[in-house]
Amino acid sequence: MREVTMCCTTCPSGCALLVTIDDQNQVTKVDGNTCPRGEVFAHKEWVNPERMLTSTVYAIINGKEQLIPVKSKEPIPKNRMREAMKEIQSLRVEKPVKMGDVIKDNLAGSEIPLVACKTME
Amino acid sequence: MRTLTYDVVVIGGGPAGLAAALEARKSAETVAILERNDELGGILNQCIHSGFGLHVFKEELTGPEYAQRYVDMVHETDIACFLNTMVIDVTGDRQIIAMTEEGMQIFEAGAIILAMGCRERTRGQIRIPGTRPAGVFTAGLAQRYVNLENVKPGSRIVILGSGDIGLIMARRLTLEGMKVVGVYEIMPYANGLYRNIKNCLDDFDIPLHLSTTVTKIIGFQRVQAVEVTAVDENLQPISGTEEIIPCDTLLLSIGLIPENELSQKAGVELNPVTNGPKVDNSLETSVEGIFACGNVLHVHDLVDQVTKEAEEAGRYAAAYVQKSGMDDAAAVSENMEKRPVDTKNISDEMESDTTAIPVQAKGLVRYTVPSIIYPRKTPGIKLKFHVSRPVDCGRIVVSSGEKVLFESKKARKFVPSIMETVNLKVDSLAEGCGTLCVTVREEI
Repeated sequence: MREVTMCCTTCPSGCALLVTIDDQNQVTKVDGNTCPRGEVFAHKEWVNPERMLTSTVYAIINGKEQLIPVKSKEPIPKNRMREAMKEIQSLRVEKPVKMGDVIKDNLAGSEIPLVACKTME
Repeated sequence: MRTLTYDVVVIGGGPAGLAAALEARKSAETVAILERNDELGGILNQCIHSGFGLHVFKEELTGPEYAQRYVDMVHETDIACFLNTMVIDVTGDRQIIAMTEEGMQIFEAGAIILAMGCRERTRGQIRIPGTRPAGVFTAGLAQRYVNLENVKPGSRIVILGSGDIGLIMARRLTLEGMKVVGVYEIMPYANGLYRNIKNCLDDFDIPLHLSTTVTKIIGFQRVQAVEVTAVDENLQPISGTEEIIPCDTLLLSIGLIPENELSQKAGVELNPVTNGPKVDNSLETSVEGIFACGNVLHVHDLVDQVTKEAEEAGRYAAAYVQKSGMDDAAAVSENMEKRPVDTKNISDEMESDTTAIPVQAKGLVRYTVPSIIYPRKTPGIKLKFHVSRPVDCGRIVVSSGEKVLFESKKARKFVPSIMETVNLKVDSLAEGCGTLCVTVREEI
């Protein structure tokens, strides 16, 4: 059994967590969190850390060059971020989009869609 | 010049201006937003990262999404939005001269809300020696290049300052294929939120060098390298620790300054610590009928806080317009009917106007907003401040003379990057209460 420290990044409070890991490499106890999300975070962070990915997609809408701000609809596994960026950089949009429109399904095999963050006409 | 008249005119269409206008419109008949850019939303449009809205919307949004929600709400109302409109002058009697799409126009306002935001500190303000090559940008300018204009600022990047924008740009540039060599911070602690250090630097193995600063910029035409040097506890460079870091770009994330040239034109008094207007508990500045909110007042860490402050400014500005409207009407009817003046009411009002309580920031508390309190002006009193350095264990104490009006129940940690708020009950401010003193008492 051992203890590791980590910082919860769920919200800007950034609680310092003290996480107990058992011999089977499982999280058994989380201390230091001030809300239940901290506990969920610690389990994920230890097993398969996830991050929100935000970027921009190149678009020509009605003849005007623009960048559409986009995000992964949910956090994606941290180790797929680079691959996801490659996919995002190869995209090109030519139609107006509304906030929330899916720009690409299944980002980097994560089964999570890439969505537009802004209405652009 | 054409003259337009509105009950409330909001200068600035960023998050503060949008929320202030929406709230003002709930009770004011006519509201206008003047925005110099070609779209509403302000700096949120280029802050494509997520982390906004956790308090206001109870979910995590990106900057553009947060802005879009407010822009959509504004478009559902009859609030007049003047885009591409640059305010040239504001007078103390609430006249605004602006260059609009239809030429110069005068706006006459029942109340004005200042919501112009802030701008970034530049190289000149910290006087970095060396040559003056291309490749030195503020972090926000690089953010604009990458996120809005599709322009690459450089290839090998050094970031000075560990403010949130700098940290977020370190990640963004790395994801877009640029090499971020390192982040240098003159203070012995990081300035940004801890989650940004973790998610933006640690995740990408970008080193953060504390107590180190850039002491020289090297390069002709384009940046070729910077010299970094460790600093002692007085922030003075330690001779012999210089190191040359090859790079082609230096990003500066060294703080923000409220943008108050217009406020000063109107005669608004500024607080030298925040560079923002001095305001009372209704967010009214030293000039009657001119209110301020958001980063033009003091630099906030979270947009959610800006929104909440702006809503208050909107509410009080609208109330001011209604009250002065009623006063005018009363004055007119008095003149017409020669009605005897109700002396009791007037003396009550005058008393409420004169019981001003100054608020003084002491010790670790750098400043407070508001800096003066009129107890009867608002139903409750919110004191906001930042501390000047990290404190492991301390308590907020608000006192008036010997009397303690508020003390935190639990001692806890304080950091300069997080804004603190204290809610005071109006009742606790007894009549004749002297200067309020706000401090953080350190405990060991």
